[in-house]
Amino acid sequence: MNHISDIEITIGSWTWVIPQSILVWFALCIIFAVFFYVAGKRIDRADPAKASKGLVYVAEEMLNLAIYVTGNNLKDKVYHYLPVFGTLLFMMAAANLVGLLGWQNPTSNVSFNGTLAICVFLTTQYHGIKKGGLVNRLKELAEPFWFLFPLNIIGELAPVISLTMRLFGNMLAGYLITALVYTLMANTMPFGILGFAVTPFLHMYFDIFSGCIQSFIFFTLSSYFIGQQVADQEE
Amino acid sequence: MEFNADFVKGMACLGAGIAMIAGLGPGIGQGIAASRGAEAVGRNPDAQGKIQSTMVLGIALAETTGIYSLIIAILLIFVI
Repeated sequence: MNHISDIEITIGSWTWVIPQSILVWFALCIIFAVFFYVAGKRIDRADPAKASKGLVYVAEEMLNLAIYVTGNNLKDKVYHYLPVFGTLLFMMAAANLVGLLGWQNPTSNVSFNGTLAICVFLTTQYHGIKKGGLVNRLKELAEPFWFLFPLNIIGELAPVISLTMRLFGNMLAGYLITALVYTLMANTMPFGILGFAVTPFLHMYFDIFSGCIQSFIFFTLSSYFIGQQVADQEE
Repeated sequence: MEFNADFVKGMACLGAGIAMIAGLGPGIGQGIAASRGAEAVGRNPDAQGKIQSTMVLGIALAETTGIYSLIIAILLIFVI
């Protein structure tokens, strides 16, 4: 595993290390910012009567995918939350696919995943408290029986840990297994060339399949938790 | 036997092996989910797209505890 591209910033006696995964995330932010800006300009100029092609078509399909993932859970407030969910869905899918290029992907850094999960938790609690006040929220947690109150509190904290660890475990396992296979190939070099028959399948499963499925699941679950607080639940 | 750093390393690797016994759970659970999914498609072939995405969602959720044990095993091998 190469650490040649960590950036270390030393201010006085305090050293701040930015690992490679976060540098990859910065690069992804710049690429996606340019992409969304250019797509926005083209959509403003596009003619709604004709069939769209090119970048406008790609943007429409991305919108349909984001609505498909979150629409069932955020029933009437989909368009209100679409900016944050749509952006993060595609950036996380792209971040998971960076493993194909050989770099360390941002989601294999546990603090990155923890930040996203804590943001979802804070959004859920904020909207729950804004809906009826703090006392009503605590009454909701005592819902079927009053002595289930501690279990419901744990049930609110558990999704944070589980969202973080599910994404982190899948991405870190993929990164470690492919790095170990490549190290083995490099150490047994004349015979190691046969390893190239195996590595495409590893990349296919760990990076493409697992990456896209995990990002889909993260946002389906996040939209479920936020939808519980925000959307009207018709029975 | 002396309890030095090699002993700790060896016991940590043994613990990693014991931790991965938890890989049994997701194997059985995902198999049950996939079998019910296949049965549902057999009963109603028109809804194959929706059944497949629901099944994939359930399968990846059931995998979570297996991933927890994998994280513990990786921590034991590489950090301790």
